[in-house]
Order: sequence, then structure tokens, then C-alpha cells
Amino acid sequence: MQEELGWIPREAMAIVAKHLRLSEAQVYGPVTFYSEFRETPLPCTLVVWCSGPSCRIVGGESIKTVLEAEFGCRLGENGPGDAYGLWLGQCNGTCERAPQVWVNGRVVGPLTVAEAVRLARRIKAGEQVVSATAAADMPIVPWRGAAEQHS
Amino acid sequence: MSERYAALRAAVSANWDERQGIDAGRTMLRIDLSTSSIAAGADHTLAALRDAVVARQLDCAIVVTGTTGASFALPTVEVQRPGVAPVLYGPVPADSVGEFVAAVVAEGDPRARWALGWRAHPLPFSPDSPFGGHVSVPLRPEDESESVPALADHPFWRHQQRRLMQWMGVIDPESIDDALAIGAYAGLDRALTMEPLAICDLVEEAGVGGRGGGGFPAGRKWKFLQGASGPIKYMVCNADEGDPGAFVNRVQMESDPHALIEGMIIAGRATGAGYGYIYIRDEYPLSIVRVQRAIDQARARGLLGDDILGSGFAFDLEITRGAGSYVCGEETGLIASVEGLRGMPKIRPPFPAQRGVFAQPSNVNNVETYANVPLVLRHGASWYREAGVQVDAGTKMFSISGHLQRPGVLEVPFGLPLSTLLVGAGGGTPDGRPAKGVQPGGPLGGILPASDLDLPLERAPFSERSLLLGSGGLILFDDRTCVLDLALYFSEFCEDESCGRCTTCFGGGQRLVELLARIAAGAGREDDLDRIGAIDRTMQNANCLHGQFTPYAVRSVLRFFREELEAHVRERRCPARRCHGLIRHRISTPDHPALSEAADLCPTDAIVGSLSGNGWEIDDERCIQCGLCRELAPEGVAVEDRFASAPLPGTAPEAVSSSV
Repeated sequence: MQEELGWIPREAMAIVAKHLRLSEAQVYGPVTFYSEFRETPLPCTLVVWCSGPSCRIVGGESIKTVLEAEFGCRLGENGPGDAYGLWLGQCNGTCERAPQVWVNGRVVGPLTVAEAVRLARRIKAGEQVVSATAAADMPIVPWRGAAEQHS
Repeated sequence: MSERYAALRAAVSANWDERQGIDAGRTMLRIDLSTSSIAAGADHTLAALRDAVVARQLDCAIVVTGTTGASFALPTVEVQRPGVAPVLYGPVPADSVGEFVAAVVAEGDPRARWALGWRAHPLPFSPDSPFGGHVSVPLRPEDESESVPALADHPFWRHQQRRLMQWMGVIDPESIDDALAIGAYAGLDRALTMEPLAICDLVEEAGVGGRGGGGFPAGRKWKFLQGASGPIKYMVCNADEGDPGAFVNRVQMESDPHALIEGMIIAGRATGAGYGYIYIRDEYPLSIVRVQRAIDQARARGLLGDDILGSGFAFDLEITRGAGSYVCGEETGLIASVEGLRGMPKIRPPFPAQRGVFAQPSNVNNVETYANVPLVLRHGASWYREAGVQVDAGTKMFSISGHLQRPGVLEVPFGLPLSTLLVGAGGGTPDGRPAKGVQPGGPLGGILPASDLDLPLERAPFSERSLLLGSGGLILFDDRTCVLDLALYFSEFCEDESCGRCTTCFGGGQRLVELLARIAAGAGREDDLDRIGAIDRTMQNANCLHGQFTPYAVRSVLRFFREELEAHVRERRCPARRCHGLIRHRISTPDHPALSEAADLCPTDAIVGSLSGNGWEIDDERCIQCGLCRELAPEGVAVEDRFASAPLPGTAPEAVSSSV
């Protein structure tokens, strides 16, 4: 369901529980325990803020602060109409590009505070800020269908 | 060598030279396509390279490889002209590919500005010396006096001893042909002729320790499982690599996945396990793809399945995807997660060897531990022990990052001083700022002061200081970093990732975060540091290591950086000027020209005024201390201690004593 929808709505948990012959709590537990099961719908443009320590020591906290202020939403929330969202990400080990965010799965960094503000404003204006995959035979696509969800 | 294996090898060895472009008369272009390089735009570089080669009608083969570990120079491209040693270039962004191809490939100037150095390209593992190692008759540069320097002399490579990483960045990680040609599964072939207990003995004799951080001898651990009764036993690989700042397992899986698979099959043979799970975190999608392809290819060649290499031994593997939980890196938590439950650690005993996955005897090892095993089988225990120190044998992969000139992944023997890695290979801090400390071993690992930078990289000196060497992440930080901020960060991380089973851990972690956050906000109390000590002692009663190690970060800060912490509490001052609650931004040059842009970009519109009027000033009520204005106008904005000039009455100790 996470794979197909990109998130797990509350109503779906009841259906899953019924199918698996579990109580709803037994589904709710793991879904909320694991952070990669999302309880928020995938926004059109997803900005994931890297919470890693390498980002932290080069000013990642300020990047989070300005993104929250610009987007008007807290970490883990979506903006109006799910046009964009700001979520927390765990270090993926591309620390040479710290501080960074991942816009629809593509690493954007290293960011200055001013660049983060400009990036947020472009996203709010509905601009396409990251390029699609260049090589057709790339082993992974940067993001599993955030944009497709809304098209 | 078994007949089946010999046949597999013969099929791929025959055309090795051709595929590697050694005799074929073609130029080989190897491009690093891994998570780090894709972040640097390597997919665009790859597309541009293909276009350029077609446009210029060059006779080139473009090969996708894993990473060389040189994260600081991504995307890297290696060019190997016929009969000449390959030269590594980087960074080669997509927009300079045209120029790059013209200079390096078409005109053949190896010294182009992107050059990092030439690499000795060893011949593959020789079929004639099954356990003897690689026959190294490396290709040489065309004309050494005029050529680029050797990669072996580059500071990033100079101290490395690459065993696991020898072929990373050379072979195609999605091709089992490449893996077989360099000798993959030769260790397995040998293991299949040995008694299970003899394999355990050999691995124990070599001294392969658990690379997840524990260092427990893998051979001894396997014997527990070997001796366990029961028809069904499981082999589990911990590829959760949850420590932020550590990414050595990712590099292994993305660049040479067959070493891991081979190690697990050997472990299965040694212990009687017939099935394995590789638990890979969801944050590593490329690792999942590449390991899955490697499993499928191995199965197709008869290296996994019911009758491995005709020996009658049956073993198979599957990937379990993690779903984002740090405690699933703890072995009992990982087992619960493999079973499809919440990844909550359990009290040991029973140990996994007695009761593991689905209540059957199991063994859990780290990716790097398994990947070392084929080397032992291939080269023997004494060869393995030639690197490293008595208690920690062999080599270790480290990922280095932080305030560092050359971040990346490298492999060195155990026992090398920390400074060799961080200053020698990593280049130390940028702009020559003084280093302040190192964070080894992830959130639970603690923080080491810069005075200990000469500490050898082995487990004992770290554990003597209540620190962990951990799984391989090393983060260097300079004097711009606040250690309280770091302690708060790691405590927040541990609190958030606590599974919630024992109150000691989730309650203790919560309290620790509250205290540290209070200090960082300027509301610290005189006895807060003692309180932290009390929480630390209490948390030692937590059921699993997560809770017990949670206070390590703050404990090491208290021990090594006590003065700085006391400044936060007593003077309400952050010496590094990082804690947002303890600083304020003030305009020092109200008519600075860059302030107009800062006012425009300020996310909370805290910069008020105008250039034409009385100049700009900052509205303290609105300012969130993000530092944007100072970044744009460093000479126009000053950062000062919020409470330095006028300590608020009531909370500061001096104020309390004077008012009473």
C-alpha cells in the first residue's frame, strides 16, 4: 500500500486488518512505529530535509528553520492542497553535499540559507526545481511517483 | 577447484581482457553510478558521455561501476586507453563532458585538469592459483615522466589498504560475469570442500570480528549456531546501517554485492543454515536493486539454490526491506522486524543462536563482516591477519565526512591513527580552522576531543573512553560547532528512535532531551549537569544497548568539554555561537548594500527599515536566528550573545545571588 499509494490512510488500516485477520491496533502499531510508512499523503513536490549529523554541523538546523517559515508548515506536514510537503529524512550518506534536502528524491545541496529560501519560494510558485532522470537505464528513479500521483 | 566452478570461471575469464579493454584496442570509460554520485548528477554525466561518444564517433565502451569511494570528486570518470593504465578524473559534471571528452578521449591528453591520478589495474584472480590471490602485473602509464601522478600517491589513497574495495569502481556491480572474473565465489568453492566446523575454525583463526561495532569473533558466533539443534536455521545480514553519517555498507552493496552474498552462503555452509535474510534499510533503494540483481544472477548460475555448485548443499536468500527504524539495527530488533513485527529489541538471552528468526536458531552479522569471509577462505587466515592489529585483525572501511576537505569512503588496516584518516586522507578541516573533535560510531558513539586525534583506530582505546568505534562513520567538526548542540542532536535522535518498550530508555531519553533543550534555550539550572549524570546512571538499566548507550554522547561532552557546557548553564552563553536561544543577530552596518536582498529573503520579514531612511534593523521579536542575513552580509550583521549585555533577572546564578 505504501508502495502503491505512497501513504497509508487511516481507513485503509481497518481494511488491511480485516484481510490479515488482525486487530486494527496490530496494523496501526507497525505503521506508526516505522517512519517510512507514511500517514500523510505524498505531496506534489516533496522536500525531505536530511536530519543527519553532517548536515547538522554545517547549518542544517537553519535550513529546516527557514523552510518551515517559508512553507508555513512544520516538519512532517504538507502545505495547502498537498502541493508541497516538508518531511524528515534519515541520513542517506551523501554527506559530501551537506547541508541538503531531497526534492522528489533528488539530492539538492550543499545549500546556503539564502538558497534554501529561494528554493522554497520557487516550489511555492509551482516551478519544477529538479530535473528528471537523464539516463533512461538508471538503476533507480529518484522518486517513486510523487508527481505521477497528482497527474 | 570444483568442475562446476571451473566451468563458470572459464566462461567469464576468457573475455575478461576484452571486457576490461586491456587488449581490445578500445578506450574504456568507467563511470561511478552510486547514490553519492547520482546526488552529484552522475546520471546526467553518463547521458552526456554517451551523447559525446556517439557525436564524435569514438570507439569507446562506457561501463557503469560502483564507487571508488572518492566522494569529494564526484562524479568521477575513469578513462583507460588501450594498453595504458587507467586514469581517474573528477569531478566531471555533465556540462563539462563535451570539453572532457575532447581533451581526454579524442585528443588523448591524460593530464587534463580533471585528473586525480593513474591507477594500477591488476589482472584478475588467476585460475591457476585458486587461493593464491591476484596476479598483479599492472598496466603502467604510457610515459611516466609526463603522465599524471599515481593514484597510490594521492593523499586520499596513500594510506589505504583496499581488500574489500579493491575492485570497487572497476567492476560493474550488476554483472556477475565481472564478479566471477575477479574471483568471486572462489571462497565458496573452497568452503564446499571443507567440514563446517573447519570453516568456523578458519574464520575464528583469521580473527574476523563483527564489523557492526561489537567486534565479536564471527567464527565463534557461528559455532553457537553450528552447535544449535534444529532442522531449520537462518542466516541474517544486518544491512540496516542506521547510524547517520555511516555509509560503508551502502558502498559495499552498491559496488560489490557478490562479496556479501558469497559470505552469507559460506556462513550458511559453516553453520548448517539453509536460508538467509538480508535486511536492507529503505533509505538505500539502489542497494536493494543491486543486491536483488546479484541474488537473481547467482541463483541463475547455480550459486544459490538446492544444489550449490553440485555439492548438494542448499541455501537461498531473500531481501527484507526495512521501513525506517534505528533500533532495527540491534540484532533482536532486526529479527522482530524480519518477522514482520514492530522492531522492538528483546532481552538476551535467549540469544539468536538459540532462538532467532521465527523462533529458530539464527545468526546475525553485519554486511562488512560477511564480505570479509570470502577473503579469508580465498587467501587464508595468516594472510588476513597481516593487516590490522592483534585484537582487531584485517581492514576496516570508514566513511569520513563533516568539516572535511575530502569526504568519502576508504579502507584502512585497523590500528592506524585517527588523524591519518581524517587529516592525512581527508585533508582536515577546510580553511585551516582548528578541529574541535570527532564523532565516531553514530549517535550512540560519543564525541571525542581533537586532542585525541592520534588515537589508533581499534576498539579498545575507544571503549576506554566510553566511546564506540562503531560501524565506520567518522565525522570531523571544527570550532564552529557547539558540542551542546551535538549532544542535544544525538539525544533527540536516540529518544525519537527508542522502541518504547522500557521506560528507562524512552522516559530517560525524553528527560535528557528536555534538560539539554532547556540549557540550549538559556534556561539551564546550576544542578542540571548533575541531573544529566543521574539520568545517565539510570539509563544503564535499560534492557538493550540502545538505552544504555543513549547517554554516551552527553557523557563524553561532560567529560571532554565540561567548560563549554558550564558556559551554557552559568553564563547562558554559547561559545561557538550556535545555540539559537543564546544568540541574537544585530545589524552592525545599517546601510550595508547586501541588506536589501537579505530583507527580501528573510523568511520572517524580521529585517525592517529601508536603505533610504535610517537604514536596516532587526526586529528581535520576529527573528528566528537562521543566519541568512549574516550569510549574505557578513560585514553588515554581527552575532552576539543574547544574554551577555543584560542578564535577565531570576535565572542566571549571579542574578539570583545578587537579588536574594
